[in-house]
Order: sequence, then structure tokens, then C-alpha cells
Amino acid sequence: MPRIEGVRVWGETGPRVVEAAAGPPGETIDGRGLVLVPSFVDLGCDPGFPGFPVRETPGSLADAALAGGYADLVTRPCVDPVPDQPEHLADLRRTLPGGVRVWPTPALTRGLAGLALSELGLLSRFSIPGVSDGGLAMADTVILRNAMEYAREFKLRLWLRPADPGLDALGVVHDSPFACVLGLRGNPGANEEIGLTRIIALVRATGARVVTGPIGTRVGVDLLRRAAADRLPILGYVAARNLILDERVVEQGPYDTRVRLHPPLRSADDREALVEGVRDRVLAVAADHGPRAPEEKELEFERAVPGATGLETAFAATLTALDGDLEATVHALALAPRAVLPETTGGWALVDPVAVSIVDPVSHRSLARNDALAGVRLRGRVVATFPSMEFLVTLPA
Amino acid sequence: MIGKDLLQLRGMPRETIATILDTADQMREVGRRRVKKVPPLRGRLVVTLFFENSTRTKTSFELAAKRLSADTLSFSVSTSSTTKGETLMDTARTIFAMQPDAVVVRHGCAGAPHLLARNFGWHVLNAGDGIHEHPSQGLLDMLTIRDRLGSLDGARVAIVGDVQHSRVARSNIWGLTTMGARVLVAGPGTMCRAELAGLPVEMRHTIDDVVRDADVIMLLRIQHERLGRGVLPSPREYASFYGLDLARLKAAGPNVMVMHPGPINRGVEISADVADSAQSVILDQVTNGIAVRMALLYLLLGSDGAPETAGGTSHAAD
Amino acid sequence: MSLVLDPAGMAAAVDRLAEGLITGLQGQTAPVALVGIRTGGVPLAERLRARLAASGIPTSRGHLDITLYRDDLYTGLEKPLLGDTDLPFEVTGTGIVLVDDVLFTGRTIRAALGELHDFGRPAWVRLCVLVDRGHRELPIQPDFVGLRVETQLGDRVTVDWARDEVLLR
Repeated sequence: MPRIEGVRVWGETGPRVVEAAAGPPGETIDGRGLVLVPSFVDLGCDPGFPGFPVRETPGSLADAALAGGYADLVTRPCVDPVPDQPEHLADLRRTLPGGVRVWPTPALTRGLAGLALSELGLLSRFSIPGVSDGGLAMADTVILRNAMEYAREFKLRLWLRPADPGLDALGVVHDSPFACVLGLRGNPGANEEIGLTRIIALVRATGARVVTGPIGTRVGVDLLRRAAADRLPILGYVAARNLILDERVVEQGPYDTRVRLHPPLRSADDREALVEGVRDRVLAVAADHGPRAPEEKELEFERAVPGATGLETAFAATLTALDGDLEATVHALALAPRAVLPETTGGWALVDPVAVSIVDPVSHRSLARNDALAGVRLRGRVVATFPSMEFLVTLPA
Repeated sequence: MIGKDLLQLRGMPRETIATILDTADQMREVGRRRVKKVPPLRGRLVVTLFFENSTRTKTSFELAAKRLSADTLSFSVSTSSTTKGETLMDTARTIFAMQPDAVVVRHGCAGAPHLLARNFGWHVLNAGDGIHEHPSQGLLDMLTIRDRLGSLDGARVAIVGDVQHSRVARSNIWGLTTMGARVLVAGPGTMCRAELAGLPVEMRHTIDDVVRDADVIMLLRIQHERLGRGVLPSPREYASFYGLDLARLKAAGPNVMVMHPGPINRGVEISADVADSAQSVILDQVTNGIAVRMALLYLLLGSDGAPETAGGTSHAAD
Repeated sequence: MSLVLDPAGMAAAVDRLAEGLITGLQGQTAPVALVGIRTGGVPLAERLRARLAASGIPTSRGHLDITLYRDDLYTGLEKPLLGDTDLPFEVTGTGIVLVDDVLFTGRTIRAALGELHDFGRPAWVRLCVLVDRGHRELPIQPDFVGLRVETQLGDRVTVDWARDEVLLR
């Protein structure tokens, strides 16, 4: 068990010596210049398993999480089979190698078809944070409203995609003059505005608790800001990469499928609003980890499977976008997301807030290499992650 | 001389465009010879890789390659294995094994030629990628206009129709404006969306707003398969607001040129009498297409080094 | 750099060529065309045509651009722009005098012969050059020569038609 000397501990000032509360003695880490912060929670993670061994395995996902400071992963039901029955959860692995915890959000509707509700009551017995639409906006608003009313009684949150089911199917990049230049079909910002407005209205009407994201537009941030002022139980999140990148990166490459994302990267102005939203604590930040196999990305831009890995760069991307504001970064990556987990969770990440590096997916621990931030210079590095460590903090001798 | 690939006209320097047009101008003379064949690409392989049907563009490229004495090999969807789910990259790897010097690619997705250009050493010529660009068509249109007007500088070109979904329009817009022309566009709101502000065009509403200020009227083909989901109420409505008929042509003046990338829908975007009028240069466009594609193949492939002849004395000193 | 021909020498060389042609073309039954090889051969062909016309020998004009027929297209050198080829007469049955300014390796003439034959079957072809600088790499010899000059392989011989000079560098 490690001992870290000269480290700054989150919430305290000055250097400390920290030691594991239990276990045999282990290596000593020189912690000068490092900070021990609460470990992070990904609010939107594609685990890749079961069903997609080319994307990620339990081992590779755990390695990627630990490399990025993550001890808790809220996983989407976008796996095969789609988890929509209690039996699926009984079989599902909840702790990965290294102690990374998985928090599944099973399908809100059977098979994610948007028609019949899953057995939410039976599912709620498995200590899950909530249920999810799997990134497919519900076509039928009546079913969505009923799902919210029903889930509320079982204290389940709903993970919902802020999108209009019709407009969401359009386009592969942000609908803008820039998309017009590239000859790519656009997905309009109105898609998010309509979807989010629908969610907010139904939360107001039903009292259901919702996690929604990834948010990508300025209008979306404004809507969430107002929802927060109204004390509505909605947590919105942004993908960390959206704090750094905007639609213009599609021209680099060009048509590099690593930046094929859904929802797409939006305008530079939207990006600025997202950064403000995180700074103001309107938005949490997710890794939005979407591992994809090479054969899913080595395709025409429109045909490539959307998604990008994020676990290993979310911390640095957020810290960089926030100009080194570690307090706001930890709030967005750790504290705000922890509040939507069904149980209190511990865990620490040892971070270097000043190290600068250029993102190189080849060095990543994830099985996938599709990090949209490849080649970007970022500030901040995760040195180690301790998912379930309890530390004793002492003053240096 | 003009780079490795021809992917798009956006960003192509003015001098490069001028070189291509000047070379194409000379290539037309080869087409008038008794033996319509010259030897510069002898023994070289040009593959046409078409994922969408297009007899015109494909035959035009093939004829251009043959007139330069290159061998041609045609790979099209119906004869290839893409229907079995092979990816573009795997198809390209198969073609790579045939050792082509150039691949002419037509694909439904924007950026598909860029993907090939990035991953393979051969020259890639974009023969149309989705709704992005169709650079050889843009160049042949520019050659056609230059022939009539003498210069592209200051020319006023009206593009009418589905600009939003037209790769022909995009290539023309970038190429023409680089050469100093002005481009006016008009079309229904669903086809000339506000996002066209990303292109160097002046947006107008109806065809009448653009034809009176134009030296050239370029009509785009209405694709019937695009008319669903509220894009357009009917071809009749389109014809009445955006179709070019004799009355509108008269208003445009006796010197205005009428162009269309073909195939035309008579009675929709262009009336039959206008299509057949002396002001229509639609058939010149076809002839110029071969010359432009000869120029492109010559300029792209001609910059390759061949070890067998390297070291010999240059004619330049002769 | 040295001056091989000054304007007076140039005029004399052109004279010699014209006289040689007048003599050489005597008794020819086929119509004759003087075809300049672009770019240096074109002004020479024009001067010779004028001289022949003054002597009552009408000839057709034409010019060839041999770029597309070059055997060194792929040596990686910057490629020259394509020029114009124009043979506004029926090549088949015409006697053709190919005219160039400098004869060196002979490769240009090979290319020109190849191109000429894609237009038709000439009655005969003769070669007329202002300067023969030697160093032939192909079995090609001129029929009419204005001047023979000894050169090194690396020398450059240039004809300046604006100033009527031939320079050796």
C-alpha cells in the first residue's frame, strides 16, 4: 500500500504525507507538486461489453479508467444484449480489475425500442443510478412522460438524450455554413433545444429526476441554467472534448473520423458557452467514453460509427479548458457526478495539474485508439488512481 | 506541378486553375486530330472506381485516359464486391494490388476521395464525392465560360436550383470566385439554405432576381428522389418559380450563356426550347469535359519520376 | 559565354539554309510544308518560308509542339506547359521540312517524327536546323544545316530570335 509524501490533499492546504489506512506498506511516491483529489465518475460510458470485444474488454476499460483518474463508470445500455431485464443485471460485472466500479443504467424501454417500459421496479433492486434511453431520444412524448412518472416512485433517475427524435437523425456534423462548405449534412442546434425543452417541461410536470447530455449548444446551457434556477432536479453534462474542440476540427485531416461524433461538435461560440457552463457549475463533465474498433472508424466520414474515447483525456481537457482551475475541474468531473450515484463512493486520483503533454492515443490503455483529442496539447496529467483507498493524512515530519 | 491529387477546387490557387484550363485548351486540339491519341501516359494504369452510377463522367475520364495512351480499368459497384459489405478501404486495397497510377473515384460520401488520398500513394481524382465537390465538372464549366467570355475575371454567373445538395455548384463556386468571377444563387429555401453563407455567393430569391444580372445561367438538375420530406411541393411549382423558359431567357438578354451539367429534365429546370437554343452550351460542356480530364491526368501523372528514363538528356537543352 | 553568331552571321546562316532548300526542293512533285518545332523552330520556319516565297516556291506553314511525345516526361523535371500543334494542311502526301533552331541529341526530332506520323503519312520528311551542336544520341542527321558548332556536352546553345544572336554557355 502506497505512501505519498509532500502531496497536497484536496480541501486542505500545504503539503501532507498520506498513507493507506490499511494493508502492508508499499512503495513511496514523491508527491511534490501533485494533488490528491476525489476520483472521477463518467456519467456516460459505453463499456463495450458484453457484445463488442473489439471495442473494449473489462480489463482494458478498467486500465483506461485508472489511467484517467476514474473509479466509477455509469454505463449506457448500448451493449448486446441490451440490458432491460433484472436477469441481465444479475449477470453483469460490477467491479472491474483494479477496483473500478460499474454503475449500469439499464434500458428505459424494452430493447431501447421506445415502446414498452422495462420492469423499472424490479431493476431498481440492483443498486442502479437510473435507467437510460441509450442515446435514442424517445419518439413518443406520452411514453416519455409516463416513464418519468413511473420511475420517480422507484427513485430512479432517467438518463435522457437531449434531442428531437426526428431532427436527431439528420446530419453528421453541426448544421452550419461550415458543414455546407464540407458538403456534409448538418444536424441542427435546434435538435438539442427542442429535446431539452421537452425534458425540462416534463420534469417540471412530473418531478422526475433526470441526467441529460451530452450538451453541445449555448442554448442548451442557457436552458439548463434556468432549470437550475428553478431548482428542477436535472443534471446536465458536457463531454470533456467539447470544451476543447469545435466543428472546425473536421477540416483537419480532413474528414478525420475520430471527430465523427453524435451529437456533433458544434460552433466555437457553443464551445465557449459550454466552458462557461462548467465554470458556473451548471454542467458536469463526462468522459463520454465511446471506444470504437479500427474497422468502425476506417470508413467514409458519414459511415463511420460515431463516438470517441474519453476516459484518458477528460481530466486534462477539462483542466485545460478551465485555464487550470482545479477546483472547478474536480467539481465537474467528480463531485457533481457523485451526487447522482445511488451510494456514497470514495476513491482518489493523484494528479499533476501543470504537466503538459500532447495526446497520443497509441499510448492509451483503452483497446480503442479513437480519441478525438489526438494531437492536441493539454495541461494536466493523472499519476495514479486509488478506487477504494482510505488514506490517513498526516503533516510532514 | 499541380500536386498529387485532385480532391477539391476550394483552396486551389489561381495559377493552378489557370494552368489546368490552359492545358485543357491545348488538349482539345488532340480531339480534332485524325489519330485522337497521344503517347504521354503510355503503359500507365488509370482505374475508375465508381460507387454511384454515372455513365457520363466515367466515360469522359476513360476516354481522356485513352487519348493519353493510358490503360483503363473500370471498377463499379455492380461488378465489385461492395454489395457484399466490403469497406471502401478494402476495395482500395484490392485495387492497390493492381498497381494503378491513378484512381478516379465517385462516391456518395463527402471526403471518400480524401480518405483514399491519405492512405494510398496513387493519384486520386475526385469524380464527385457526395454533395461536396465535383472538381473536374467545375473546371470544364469554367473552360466553357472562358471560351465564350474570354475571361472569368468579372464574369457574373447565376447558379439556380438545389445548390445545397450540389457538388457541381460547390466546385463551380470555389473555382469561379478564385478566378475573379461573381456567383449569384437562387433556389427554393430548402435548396438554398441560410447555411450557404459559408460559400462565397450572393443569395437571391427567385430566378428572375439573378438572370437579369448574369452573363451565365447555370441550371442544376432537380433530383426527383430528393423531393420527399417537404423539400419541394412539385416539379410544376419548381418550373414556375425556378425553371428557365424562353421568356426568362429573353429577359436575360441575347448574350447570356445557358449551362447545365446534365442529364437535363426538360420542362422542369429548363424548357425544351431553351435547351436546344443557340445560347445553350450544354454540348460544348461535354467536349470540354474530355479535354479538362486529359489535362488533369497529364498534369497529375506527368509529375511522376520514372527511373528507366531518369538521367537521360532533357529535351529542354535540345 | 561566347557569341557563336552575331546578327550578320545569323543572316548568312539563314541565307545558306534558304539557298540549300531552294536547291534541294527542285524537282519535287509533292506539295511542301515547312513545319517549325516549337518554340525555337517556329521563327526560323517563318523566315525560310518568306525567302522561299520570294523565290517563287510556295510552301504551307505548320508547327508542332512535341511535349506529349517526349521520352523524358517522367524524369521528375518540371514539366513545360503544353503548346499548340497546328498542321493546317493534309499531311498525307505532303513533303515536310521539319525546322528547328538547335540540333543536339536528336530526341526532339524523334518525338516530332512520331507526332507527325499520327497526323498522316508524309510523302517525305527532311530536317533543317540553324545550328548543329553535335552529341547525337539517336541515328538522326540533318539535311540542311546553317552552322556546325563544336560544344561540350554540358554547354547550352541558345538562339535569341529577338536580337538575332546565337550564344554558347
